[in-house]
Amino acid sequence: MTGLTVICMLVIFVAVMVLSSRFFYNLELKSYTKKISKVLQLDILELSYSFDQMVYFISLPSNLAVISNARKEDVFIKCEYTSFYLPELVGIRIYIQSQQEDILLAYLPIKDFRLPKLDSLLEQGSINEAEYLKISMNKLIHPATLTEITEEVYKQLQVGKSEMYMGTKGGL
Amino acid sequence: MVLENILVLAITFIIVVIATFIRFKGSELFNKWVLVIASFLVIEIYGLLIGSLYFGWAALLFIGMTVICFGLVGGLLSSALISLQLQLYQNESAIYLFVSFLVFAISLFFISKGIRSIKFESDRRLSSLLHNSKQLNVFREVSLSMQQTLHLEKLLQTILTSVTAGHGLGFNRAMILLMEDEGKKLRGKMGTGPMTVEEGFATWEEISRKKYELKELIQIKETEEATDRNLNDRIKRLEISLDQSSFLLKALDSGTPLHIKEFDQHDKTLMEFVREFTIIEMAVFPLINQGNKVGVLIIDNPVNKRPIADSDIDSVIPLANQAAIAIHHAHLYKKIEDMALKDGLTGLLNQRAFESKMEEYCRTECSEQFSLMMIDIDSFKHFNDTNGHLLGNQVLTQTAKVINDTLAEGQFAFRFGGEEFIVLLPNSDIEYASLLAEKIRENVELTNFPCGETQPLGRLTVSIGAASNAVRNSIQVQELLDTADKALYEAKRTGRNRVVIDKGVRLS
Repeated sequence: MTGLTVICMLVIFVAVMVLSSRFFYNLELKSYTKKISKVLQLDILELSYSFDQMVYFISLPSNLAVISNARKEDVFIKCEYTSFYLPELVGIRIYIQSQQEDILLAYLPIKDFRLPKLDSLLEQGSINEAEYLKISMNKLIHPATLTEITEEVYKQLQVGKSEMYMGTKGGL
Repeated sequence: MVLENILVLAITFIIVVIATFIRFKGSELFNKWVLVIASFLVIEIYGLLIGSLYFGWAALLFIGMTVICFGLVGGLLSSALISLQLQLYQNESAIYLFVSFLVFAISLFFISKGIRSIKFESDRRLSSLLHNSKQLNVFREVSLSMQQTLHLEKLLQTILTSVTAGHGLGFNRAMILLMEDEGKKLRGKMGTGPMTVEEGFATWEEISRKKYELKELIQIKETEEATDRNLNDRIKRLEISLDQSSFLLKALDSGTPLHIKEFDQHDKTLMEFVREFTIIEMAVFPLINQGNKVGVLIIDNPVNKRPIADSDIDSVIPLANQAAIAIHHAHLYKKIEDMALKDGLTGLLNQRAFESKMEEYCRTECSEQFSLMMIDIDSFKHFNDTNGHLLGNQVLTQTAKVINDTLAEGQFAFRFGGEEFIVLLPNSDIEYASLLAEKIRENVELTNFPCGETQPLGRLTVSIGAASNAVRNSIQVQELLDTADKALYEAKRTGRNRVVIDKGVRLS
């Protein structure tokens, strides 16, 4: 019985630590941003950003049926963290779901997700790089941002489709 | 006993949940300590409630956490601590336990090290993929934009936008200086970026808010009349002689980029640059195509003050090479265009240019009022016969210059053939044309031409006939030319060195 208890204890410790770490990490990001936003009088939803650092891995317009026929609901985002036990957001991966496999379409690294308002505060010395990173991480994983990114990627697929034979859209 | 076992599991759960909640509230080191302390607490509570049975196995949790968090040193210390504890309280052989724990710690250390190195390699590959993909994205967009124009200004704007836009290479500011006078000097042509940090943030905010893409930014920059006026005003004043040594000459001569982090106080050009543009660090890229030095591209980061890395320089090199080719081609195109549309002797636009200009003008603005004047050098045959054709050519060039210098911007002079010139005056009525014609006649009369005194009137003069479409409503270009020609004939007939304007009464 005690041997089983030891095994269960180890499993519970490791499982809870690993499985809940991202949840608590995101919770802390949210709570931290809320606190610092109050001090700096920032509205996280109002922070403007651009999609300019999103890197496409597939050339658009694409002749791949899975890309050109993709529907909006096929586009999904996965957040990427450093590790399970000490998670830190490193970026988001944008995939297209297909019957065979999920195709990695684009990637947005957190270090390149720059927000002008925060850049300005950083320059003034009101925040430091670590604080900047935490706020931008929270902004990036905010549901509103993720929805906007999904829509933007879908828009790029549509633009690509209409310009397929005009050869005017970039992206790799 | 069962109760104790359940209690141990419940406490383990509570401790790990609380620890996970707390550990993200501090730094990474704090996070690690919380995990290690939590695991230590869990095994100590196990020891308290259950006793020594399987304690050694339970202790592996603590040793494992110390290895994960603090590496081999952590594992060594925790192994020693647990061994000591077991020795003290349970009289077990410390050496035997210590060696066992140590083997576990070392094994775990190498396993976690292996996992970390796989992760590191994967991250490195992703980073490299991102870098290369981004670079290819930029080149693809830029190549497409460059292919769409041979117009130098648009080309320069495309290059600068590609270097500075976030979608592009993301530098804060870029400027281009092009070669002039057969490589004897560099002249500032165009720049993109702010002169102050505030200006930079305002632009950055605007671009982010409107979520412009690289293609859109290039289009905006092309259509906007004057972007970054503050910077461009300064750049256009730049005229740098390449006779004396400077950082620009060094970059052009070496053919490789120059990364300047420390400023050579003896380089006057460099110090002037630094002062004028408040530069803290910069990279200079020579624009060279097949040995032809076409100019330089200069980049810096005055807003975010991000240091320029060697990898940043590597990213710009292919773009700079592509830019050099495009600029060289644009120069050649301009040269060919000039040869096709300009008169080789006088440098004025030629008859073909006049026809194409009138065609283009009438397609868009012919309904607007405009005037024409036809200018002819008086007794030019006599001049040629008396002084020779070489001097005649010199006089033609000089007359063309006088005419051109008298005109304002938006007014066009053409060499129509022989000693005849045409001036097109958009948005001008006949009164204005008359005044300007008189000014040209007077300027020619006052100019000292070689052997001008050999002319019948004692100096070289011109006769001018002027006509306007306002005088003869909806008149065709050819009709207007005929009218101006008739007025010119009238000026010749009535004594030369005169201006005659068409008043709309004598058109046959």
